[in-house]
Amino acid sequence: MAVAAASPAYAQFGDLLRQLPTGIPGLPGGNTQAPPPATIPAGVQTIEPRGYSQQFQPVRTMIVEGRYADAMVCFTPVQDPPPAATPEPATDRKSKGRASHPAPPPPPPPTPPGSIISDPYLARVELGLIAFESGDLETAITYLRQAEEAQNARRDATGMTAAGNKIGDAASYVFGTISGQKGIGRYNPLDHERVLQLNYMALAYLLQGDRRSYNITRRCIAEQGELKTKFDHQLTESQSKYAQQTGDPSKVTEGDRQSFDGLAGVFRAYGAQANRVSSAYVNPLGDYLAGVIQEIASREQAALRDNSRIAYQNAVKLCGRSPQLSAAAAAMARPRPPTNERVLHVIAGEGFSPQREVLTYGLNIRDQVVPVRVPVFKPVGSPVQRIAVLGAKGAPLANLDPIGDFEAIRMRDQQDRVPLIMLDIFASTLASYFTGQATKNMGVLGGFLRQVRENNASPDTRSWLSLPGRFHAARLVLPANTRSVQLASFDAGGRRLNTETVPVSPTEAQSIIYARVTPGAMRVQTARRLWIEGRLEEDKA
Amino acid sequence: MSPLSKLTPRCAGLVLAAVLLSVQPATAAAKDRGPPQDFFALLANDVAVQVLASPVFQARTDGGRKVKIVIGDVINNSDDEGVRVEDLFNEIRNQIVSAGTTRLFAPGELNVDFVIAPELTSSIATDAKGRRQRCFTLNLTLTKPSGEFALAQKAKRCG
Repeated sequence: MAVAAASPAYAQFGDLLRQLPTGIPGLPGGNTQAPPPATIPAGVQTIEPRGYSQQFQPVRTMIVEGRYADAMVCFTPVQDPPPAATPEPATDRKSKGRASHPAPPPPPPPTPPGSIISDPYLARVELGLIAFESGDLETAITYLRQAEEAQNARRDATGMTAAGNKIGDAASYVFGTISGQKGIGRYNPLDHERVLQLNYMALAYLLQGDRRSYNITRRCIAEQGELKTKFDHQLTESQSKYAQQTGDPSKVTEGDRQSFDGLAGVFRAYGAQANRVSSAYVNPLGDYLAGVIQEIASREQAALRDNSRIAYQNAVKLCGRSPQLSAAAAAMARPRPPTNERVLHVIAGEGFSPQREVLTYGLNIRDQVVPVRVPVFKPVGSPVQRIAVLGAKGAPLANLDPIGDFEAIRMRDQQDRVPLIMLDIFASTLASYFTGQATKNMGVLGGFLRQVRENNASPDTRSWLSLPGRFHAARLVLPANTRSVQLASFDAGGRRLNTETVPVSPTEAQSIIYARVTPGAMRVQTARRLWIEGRLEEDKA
Repeated sequence: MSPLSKLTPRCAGLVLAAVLLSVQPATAAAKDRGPPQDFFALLANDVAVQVLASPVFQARTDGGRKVKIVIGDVINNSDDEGVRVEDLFNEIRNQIVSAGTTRLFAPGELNVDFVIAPELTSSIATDAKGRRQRCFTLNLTLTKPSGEFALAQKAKRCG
């Protein structure tokens, strides 16, 4: 290499290489970034949104502003054509869930930020949830089902297809580790994302008044149990593998180990959020929905009242404490509902779930500080502390209980996966270290390759970002003659942030309200007439 | 020669192989998912045979008399919202009626021997090779018009 570097032809080649762009064609422009400085101090340097989490920021604003069509455009170019017409906030009772939205703000100039290149699964769940929030439940179901089918096809693949998938995953992992492009491969959804995808599909059917919500809920509960078993097995394996790899003093010095432990500490720094749940598989939302749906179905099959009671009790066990759900379980313990009882179920999704940001960290390895970039989940703040149901004149009827803390679940998932994450970082860092050593010996070409790698090194920051951070729920028996209720959100100081008035049917025994509460906005949908109430002529048509 | 320069062509080859092997539309695989076409017909047949052969049912056929029945709607309590419950109802009806020992009446008729309530449930089983299998159970509950329980039979199939 040294001889070649001395020749004039090689010097010309070096000049030519320096003029070439160092971005990888076909990857999003946002992935090309300034390389970390060649020498950085050890420890945490920066934590900032990059890649997908950075690209998603304008989409989050669009969701808050109710610009759902614009938000969906951000994903559609890389997808199949949308399965239905472009959704707008729902108002049409016949084709969509009933919606009670505030008067839409004057339409801002539509300036979608260009397509977000994303994985088909991730794009479909994002599209599904955005369509759901817009009130276009048919489109939501279509996208969520497509996402589920893609996952199932992958899981149930056999023979050549399964082998192809495995080779593809392995090749993506190797290529991603060597190139630093960790987000290049297929997106593997987090376990709770797969569960929530089913929860949302069940909710979409429920808001349509469709009994199929019950079938999906059953599938969801089975899926959650299966994923938990798999995770426990995977975690035990990774813990021993990580201990084995970092425990060999000939490979990893005490200083290296301390540096790795310091990095692991960054992931554990969100204990306040993560420790709100005892495990990442504490998802009372699935059991709560099962309780609601079986309570509704018990109007036609009385035996389901007991199933509903058990589901509510399971949800309470997972929550720790929920006066609302405890009262619901007690109500289901009665053999039959009181005559003319009208029950209102309120489900609210609040804020946004944590996003993966990029942590730049100086990792000590073999007495050198190696700059590494790793994805780390950070909570997305929400000013909402409490959501309440008020009477039409403002009298308090019920406080919603937080029943699905997905901010905590996501942070807990990260905390519990530290051995897995550290194993991955260990492999990537060694790859980076050895690539650096190798390219140093390759002269100008090595320098160019190193520059390409550093400029494009991008951790995988993908995750389902339109998800709410928390779910709140209440089950209340409506006072006689109630025709409407108010839904209000409050901040930590008890100040009212948003209020929406929602009509409730005076004739239906069971009513459902879904609300999405984001900073500065609240959008409410009410379910269509439920299947137990009998179908109306317009439904039959 | 660095280890990286040896590795890169191999990686490129691997990526290409993986792309070629894994390029298969998810939708095509998804279409193959789910029980085969005659799955529910076989399930309906299994349970219908059990009901027709049961002593409770046979006791009513003594002397060549046909048993008068009503079949209720199929309640789908499985985890698959895509099951065509109308088709399943038709399968149950056809299996029971084709035996020639029954007379079928429309729901609401009270002068019958039994009201049959079909319910479909499901579970996930794992086979010896660790592959997931979805199993469906079809329950038929027979009650007298008075509400008195008479018989429950079930059949299970996995696929």
